[in-house]
Amino acid sequence: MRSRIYSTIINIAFLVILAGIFYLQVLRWPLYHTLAKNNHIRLIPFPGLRGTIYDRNGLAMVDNRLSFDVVIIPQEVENTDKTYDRLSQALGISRAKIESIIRKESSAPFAPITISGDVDKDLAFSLEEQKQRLPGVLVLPRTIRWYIYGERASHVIGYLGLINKKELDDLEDYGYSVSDLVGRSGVEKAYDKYLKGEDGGMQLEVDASGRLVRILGSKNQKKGRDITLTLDAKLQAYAADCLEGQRASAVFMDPRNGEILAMASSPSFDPNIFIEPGKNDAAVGYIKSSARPMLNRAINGQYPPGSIFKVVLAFAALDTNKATVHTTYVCPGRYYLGKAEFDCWKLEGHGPQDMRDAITHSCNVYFYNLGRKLGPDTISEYAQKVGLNKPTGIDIGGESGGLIPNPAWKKARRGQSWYEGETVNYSIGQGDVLVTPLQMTEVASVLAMGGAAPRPHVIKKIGDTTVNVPKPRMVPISKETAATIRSAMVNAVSSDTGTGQRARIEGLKIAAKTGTAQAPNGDPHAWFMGFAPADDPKVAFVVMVEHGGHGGVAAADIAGKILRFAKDNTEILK
Amino acid sequence: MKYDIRSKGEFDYGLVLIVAVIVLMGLFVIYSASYQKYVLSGTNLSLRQLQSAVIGIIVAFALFRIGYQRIIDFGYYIFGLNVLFLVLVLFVGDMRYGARRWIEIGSFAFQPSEFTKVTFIFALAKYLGDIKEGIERPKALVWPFVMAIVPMLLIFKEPDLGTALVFVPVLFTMLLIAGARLKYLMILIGSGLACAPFLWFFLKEYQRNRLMVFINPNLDPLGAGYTIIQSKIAIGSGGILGKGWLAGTQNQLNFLPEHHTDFIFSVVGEEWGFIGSAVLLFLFYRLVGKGLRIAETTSDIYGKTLAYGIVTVFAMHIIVNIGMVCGLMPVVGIPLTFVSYGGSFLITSIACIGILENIKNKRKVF
Repeated sequence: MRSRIYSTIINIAFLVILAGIFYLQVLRWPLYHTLAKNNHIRLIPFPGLRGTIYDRNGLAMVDNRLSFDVVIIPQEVENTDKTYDRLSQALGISRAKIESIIRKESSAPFAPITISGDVDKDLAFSLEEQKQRLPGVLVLPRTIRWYIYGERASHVIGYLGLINKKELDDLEDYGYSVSDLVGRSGVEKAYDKYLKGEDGGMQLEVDASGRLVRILGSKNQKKGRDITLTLDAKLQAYAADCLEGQRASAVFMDPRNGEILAMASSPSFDPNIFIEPGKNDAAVGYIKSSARPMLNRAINGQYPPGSIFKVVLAFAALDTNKATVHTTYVCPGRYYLGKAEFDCWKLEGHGPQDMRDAITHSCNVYFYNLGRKLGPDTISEYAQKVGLNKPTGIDIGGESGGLIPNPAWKKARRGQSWYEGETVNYSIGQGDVLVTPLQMTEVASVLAMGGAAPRPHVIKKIGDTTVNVPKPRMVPISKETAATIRSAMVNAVSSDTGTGQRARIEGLKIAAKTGTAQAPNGDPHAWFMGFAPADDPKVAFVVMVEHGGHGGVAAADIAGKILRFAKDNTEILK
Repeated sequence: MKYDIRSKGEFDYGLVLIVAVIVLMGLFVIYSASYQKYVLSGTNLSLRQLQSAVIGIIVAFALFRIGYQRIIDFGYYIFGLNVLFLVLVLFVGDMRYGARRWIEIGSFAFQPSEFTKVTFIFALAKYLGDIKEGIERPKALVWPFVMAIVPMLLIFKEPDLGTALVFVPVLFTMLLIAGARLKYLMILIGSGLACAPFLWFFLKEYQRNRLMVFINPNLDPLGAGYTIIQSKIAIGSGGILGKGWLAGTQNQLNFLPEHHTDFIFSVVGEEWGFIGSAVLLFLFYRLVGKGLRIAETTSDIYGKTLAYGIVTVFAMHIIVNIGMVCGLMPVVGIPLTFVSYGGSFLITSIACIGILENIKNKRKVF
C-alpha cells in the first residue's frame, strides 16, 4: 500500500515534468525562439542621412548635424553611487529620474540606455574626457535633422515625425522601418521618398557579455537626394520676420515660371522641436494652440478677398464688353438697392470714376454697378477663369481650394435663391467668396504676365536634375484688358490718391491692389496683391494680415518692406 | 510475476544499460556545454567526467562484491566518519563559487556532502533494520531525526541548500517504508512546516532571492532571475528537434550560467530539442522504475529501506533538477544524476547502482 502511494507520486512527478517540457519546447517554442534570437543577434544601424535642402542660391536651409547622446551600460558601471551622482550633476537630471530611466529602458544585458539625448557639445566633450573615471558611461554621436531657419521657413519645408502603423504597412516595401522619421508636411512630406536615405547596418552575433562573436552581415547606408528649392532663403527669412507677432501670410512668386521665392505664415513653429527628444510638450503645445501655428495660412487660410477681387470684375466687364475703360459711374458714397443701402468705403464719395480711377481708388460704388450689370454667373465664370475655386496645384500639396459661389451653387448647397444684394456684396469680394493668398498670387501673375498662369512650385532641383515645370495655363485675357488693369494698379501705388501708396519704393515700379475684407469678428482682414516691376514683372506677391484693418496700411507696409529688401539684398529684381 | 522469474537472483543488465546510455549522453552534453572552454584552454571536462565514471564503476563493482549487508554492519561508523569530514570541510574546505564544499587531497578534490547522501541511507537502513517493528513507537523516530538533522545543518552551513534538502524526502520515505506510524510522521512534517517561516531568516540573501524570483522571475531579470529566464529560453528555443549538438546559441554564447553542472538539462533541451529531452526523461523514468521494482520485491528490511533510500535520492535529483531548470520549481542547486558534470556525485550515483544490483542479487537468498 505504502509502496503503491510512493510509486504513484513518482509517476505523477514524471508526468508533470514531461508536460512542462512539452509546454516549453512545443507550445511556447515561437516565443522562446524569438527571445533566443534577440538574445544573441544585435543590429547596429547605420542610419541613412536625409538629403540636404538648399535654397535657390545654394544656401543650406535644412541639413544634418552631429548630436551627442549620453548613454549608460548599467552592467559596466563600477561605482553606482558616484556615477549616478556625477551624471545627475552634469546633466541636471535628478538621480531618481536617472534610476527610473534605467529601470524602464533596460532590455538586454549590456544594451546601452540613453539617459539624455542631444546634450550640449561642451558637456559631451567633458564627459568624454572623464571616460576613464566613469566606466559604463558613454557619449554616442548621432546625426539629427537640423532646420537652420527654424520657425522662419517651417511651413514650406515641413517637419518630421515618427512613422505610424498605417504608413509603415503602406511603405514597408519601400525600405521604411519602425523607427523611421517621415515628413509630416511641406517639402519634407511631399518629397519624402527622395529625401529619405537608405539605412544600412551590421548584424552581429554577440555572447552573453555583449562581446562580438562574429559579423553576420553588413550593408552600407546611403544618403537621400539633396533638394534645391526655389525659395530665396534671405527673402524667406525676412518675410517671416516681417509677419512676426501677427496672424498673417505672405507669398512672393516669380510670375514667369511659378517659382515660389518666399512663402511665410505666422504664427509659425520650429520643426527642430519635433525631433529633439524630450520636447514633446512643446510639440503638443503647437498642435493645441488656438493660433494654429501649424497651419500654412498661405495655402490653407481661406478668406473673403475684399477689394482685391475687383480686378476679376474689371477683367469680366472688359472681356464681355459690358464696360469699357471709359465707362463712368458717379460715386456719391453710397448705393441703394431698393431700400437697402451699400456704402463706399469713402463715405463722402469719389465723385465720377472711370474704370482706372475706380481700381486706383478702390471705389465700391463703381463695382456695385459693374457687378449688377455682369450678374453673379458671369462673375463666378471669370473668377474661375483666373484660377479661383480650385487649388493652384503647388507641389507641397494639401492646399485649400477656396470658394466661388453662384446661384446654382447656392440652390444646390443651401436650397435658397440668390438675392440681388448678394451680387452687390460679391462685386467687392464679400459674402460667401473665399480665396487663399496663394490663389490671389496666381491672379496677380495672370495680370502681370498678360494671361500666363504658371504652376506654383517650390522645388527647383532634385539632386542635379532640374524638375520639369508644366507649361503655364493660358487665361484668355486680351492685351488691352491686362494693360488697363495693370496701369490702374500702378496708379494705386504711385498716385497720391491711390490706396496702395504706402508701398511705394524709389526706383521700383509696383502694380498693386489693396483689399479690406469684412471679417466676422474683429477688424477686417487686410490684403495687398500685386507685382513688380510693373513693366517687366519678376515677382508677384500677396500679403494678407488677419484682422489687419485697412488694406492700405498693414498689408501694404509689409509688402513694401519685403519688396525693398528684395530690391536691396537679393538678385530677384535684378 | 513474470518479472520475478526472469531476474531471479540474477543481475539486471537492463538497469546497467540504461545507466550506461545516460552517462554516455551526459558525456556528449558536457562536451558541448564546455566546448567554448575546451577551445580556449584545452580543458576537456567530458574526459574528466569519464575518469570519474570509471572510478564509479570500480567502486560499484567493489560494493557489489562486498555486499550491502556487510556495509550495513559498519553503517554507523562510515556515516560517523562522513559527518566528521563534513565538520572538517567547514574548516579546511576549499572555497569555490562562494561556498566551502570541497576537500582537497593533492590534486584530487571531493565533496563529502555528496557521499553523505549514501552513508546516511546505510546508517538509517541499519537502524530501521535493527529496530524492526519498534519503529511504530514515537520515541523510535527521534534517532533518525537526529541522524538527518546533523548532516543537514552542516551541509546547509557550507552553504548547499539543495543537497541539505535531499535528506528530507529520503528520511520520510525510509521511515514510511519501515512502517512508522503515519500519525507521527504527519506530526513531524507538520512541525517541520511550522518551522519553515523561521527558516527564512537563516537563508542567505541569494537563497531568498532565488525563492522570490521563482514566484516572479521578472522581479530581477538581470540578477537572480537571469539564470532561470535564460534557462527557459534555452529549453524553449530548442523546439521539437533542437538546434543540434554544439549549435545551441544560449549554451555556446554563454547566456546560461552553470550550464555544465546544475543547468545541464537546458543544454539537452536547446541542442537536442523535445525529442532529446523526452528520451532522456524516459530513460530516467525507466531507471527509477527498475530501482523501485528492486525495492518493492525485496523482503529484507535492510535491503528494502536501503533500496528505497537510493531510489529516492535518484528521483529527487531528477525531478527537482529538471523541474527547476524548466521553471517549475525554485532554483535550489542540485545536480542532475549521471549527467551533470561533477565527480563526487557521479561516483556516488554509479556506486549506488552497484548496491542496487547487489540487493537484487542477494534478494532470493533469504
